[in-house]
Amino acid sequence: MSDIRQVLEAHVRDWSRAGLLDDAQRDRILADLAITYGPARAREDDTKSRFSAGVWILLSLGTAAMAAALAVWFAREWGDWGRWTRVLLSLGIPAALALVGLFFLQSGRRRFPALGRVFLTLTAIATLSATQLLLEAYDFHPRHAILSFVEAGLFGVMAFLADSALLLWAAVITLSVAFGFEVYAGWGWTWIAIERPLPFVGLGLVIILGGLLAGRLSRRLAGHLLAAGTLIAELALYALSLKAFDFHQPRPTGTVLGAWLVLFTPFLLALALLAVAARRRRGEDSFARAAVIPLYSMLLLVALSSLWPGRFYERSWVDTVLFTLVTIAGALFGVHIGSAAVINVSVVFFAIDVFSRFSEWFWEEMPAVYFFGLMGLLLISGGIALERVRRRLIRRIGEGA
Amino acid sequence: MRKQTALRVAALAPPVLLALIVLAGERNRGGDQSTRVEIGASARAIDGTSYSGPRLMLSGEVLESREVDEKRFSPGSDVVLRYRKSGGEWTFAGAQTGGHEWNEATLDIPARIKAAPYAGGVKAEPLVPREFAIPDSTVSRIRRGARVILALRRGALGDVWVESATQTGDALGVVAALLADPGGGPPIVLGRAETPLDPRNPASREASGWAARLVDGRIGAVTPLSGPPIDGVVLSDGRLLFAIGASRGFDLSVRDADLKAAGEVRHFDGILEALTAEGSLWIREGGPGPGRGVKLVRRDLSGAATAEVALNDTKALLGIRGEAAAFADSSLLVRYRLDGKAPSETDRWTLDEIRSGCLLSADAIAVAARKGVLLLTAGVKEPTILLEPGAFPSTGDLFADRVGNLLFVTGVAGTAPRQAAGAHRERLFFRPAGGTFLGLPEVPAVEEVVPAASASGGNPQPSRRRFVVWNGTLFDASHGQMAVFDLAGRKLITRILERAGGRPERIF
Repeated sequence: MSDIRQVLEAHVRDWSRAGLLDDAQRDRILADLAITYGPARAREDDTKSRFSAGVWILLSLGTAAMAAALAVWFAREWGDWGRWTRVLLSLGIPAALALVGLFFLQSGRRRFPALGRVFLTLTAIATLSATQLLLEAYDFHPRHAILSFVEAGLFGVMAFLADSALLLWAAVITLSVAFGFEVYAGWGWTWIAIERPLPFVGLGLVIILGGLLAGRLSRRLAGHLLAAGTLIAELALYALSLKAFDFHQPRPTGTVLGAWLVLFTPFLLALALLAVAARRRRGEDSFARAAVIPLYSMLLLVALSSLWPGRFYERSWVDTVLFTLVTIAGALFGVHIGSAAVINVSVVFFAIDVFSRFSEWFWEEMPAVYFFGLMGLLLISGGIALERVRRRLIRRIGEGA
Repeated sequence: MRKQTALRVAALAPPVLLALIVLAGERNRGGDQSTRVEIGASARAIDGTSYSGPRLMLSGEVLESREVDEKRFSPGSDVVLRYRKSGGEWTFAGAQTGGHEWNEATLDIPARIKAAPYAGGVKAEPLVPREFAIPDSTVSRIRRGARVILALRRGALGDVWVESATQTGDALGVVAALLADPGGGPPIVLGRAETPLDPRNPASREASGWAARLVDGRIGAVTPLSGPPIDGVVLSDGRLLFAIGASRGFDLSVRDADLKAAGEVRHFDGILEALTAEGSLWIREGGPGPGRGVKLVRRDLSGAATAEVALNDTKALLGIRGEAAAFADSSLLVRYRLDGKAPSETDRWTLDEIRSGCLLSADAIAVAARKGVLLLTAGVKEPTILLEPGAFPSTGDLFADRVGNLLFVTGVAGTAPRQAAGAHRERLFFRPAGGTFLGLPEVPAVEEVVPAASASGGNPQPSRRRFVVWNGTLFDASHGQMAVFDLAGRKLITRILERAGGRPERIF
């Protein structure tokens, strides 16, 4: 029996006991639920889902390949184009792609709206390529990534209007790169070395809360936002917990206001979004409880890192503990808001955390056979424990109802 | 319907954003009233892949980032880097907040302060273009280390832009030898012809050479050589001997005072280690390969072997003078006599942190080590300190000519290493044979563009410094430039970066 059917049946019986439904109504609803969520429907859904997943994978891979081809073509041929050819193609190609995308998405001609989404995603990629090359061709040296932030917002809006997950990921990646540029400009960190990727924790948090708020517009796209936000935040926290990135350098003195804004704005924005989300979900105590745990952990991390310049670039046990706490809190948060993406990303990072700590502490202390065996047992036990927690939570929701 | 309209507006907004960039770019250029200023740069590399297309990377004094005082400037803040023109070249005059000078004498280049997490401190990154997407047809025309003149404008919106880039005539390139004229005239230069910068071009592997006299502080009329020169010497009878790289080994060409051939060209196998004015040469022969031991062989100009010494020392060979050779590693220096089948050790010195060394004569060796620049004399255990460590900015390299003059070259603290992109500057100390060191002024260095391959028959690239003294003037040839110093006044007279001939070519 599916988890949804179990929960719904528990609700129906509860309403029947409370006198809201008579026995006939209760039996009819239970029979409907048995048909809707029964084995036959489940098999049909499964088949549908498998086919649509196949189409989605093909279209997504095709779009990614076309996007790569477009970006490479722009970059490869740019040197050979004259000034006005560059301008014409930079403006003309995104415009043409957008028009084709709109054509396929228009009502009345919705024979293949997925193709419309493909063309809109290509519009975004062509715009990003043309932006970079035009800025370079005009010898502009952007001091801030304002244009990229605008483009990321625009792509996000387009993604929700066209219901395109791929376009949404393009928006999230553009936003992350633009934010990375600001971080680099303000703090001098390099994108690869990620000496102190604290601001990215805030960025991930903003995207998570954005996903929560966007749930009303599209549950599917909100799920992607939640996954992207969790990925960014936990990746940044993981980098924080790694000893390999410990450079033992103090925080630069005389940091300008812009750099502090880059560090704190995402956290302040996340707080504001949390307040909005909490207001909308007033009465849902579990949401507030679940959301504040990871948030408090992350804010604690910010406070420690910014107020203690001596360990600005250093790694300590505080980061390690906080990362572990956040992965657990993230998984619980995912269970409470019903997001499989958040749960899965958090569980993966929890496993990576276990692997990293285990390697740090025991690699040199025990033979490889015991090392891998013990780690395997630990991870499998973690998987079993998590599955039990999941089942208990489902049961509790059912019993509570 | 409202959703459809919103989607149309959002989908067509990206081209509008791009049009805004075009408008701003055209405004920056079209409304620009600033003076056209020319700066020198050098072609560092053709970068890019089949995914990104070819890109010309330039480096130069005005294009490099600068280390600045972290107490004065915070990361993320905008500053200007001020340059002043002196002696025909732009010289960095410091970083400051604010400044809009833009004329023939002073340039304020906008820059942004960035933290350098690995090196510590902060640096100012100039906001000027350094990479350019260029067509394939242009790539093939750009020479390795070519000097490029960029015409810069300030831009109506304050964004510095490049109006044009022109490759000058032939750049000096690598100098293989600087020879004193046996007739007492100005020195003779042996150089390598430039090859294409593009590593995909097969011609980038084939270097030829040239020889010329210095005339009025410039490279005079060029005599082409059949291959890349490796070294040269003035023979005691006044003729000139040029060693020229071949596909295997090298050729020796005897020339008269007019640089014309004065005898047949003879081919030698092996790696040339030393040429003497008496017309003999030491060659490293044999190895690698099973049963092929490495040996040093002395041959005369006819090719006949006059001495042969098995070489077992794996340390670096500092040089050979007469029958004396010196080998060193980071802490041990050994002098041998090459007069038997195996080298016989005559002296051994243990020193801390040996950086470089050279033979001043058969009995005297100069070494740069932790205790400064030292003179080691055969038979004397204790070194003589020629230059205390506190007298120079950082440890450096030593070079000697055939008459015993010594040149000590150090990098200037805070500037980039020669092999990396960056504003590299050097400080020179010159010691005439038997005299004391003279400190010379700092000189900017040209970034070393290491050739992808060599056509020198296994002979090392002549990356070593060459120098010669003539009429109280020191000519110091390093990679891509020749600095000319007045020794009496201890001042830099000029830097020679180009040679005669060759037409400027517009890159874009």
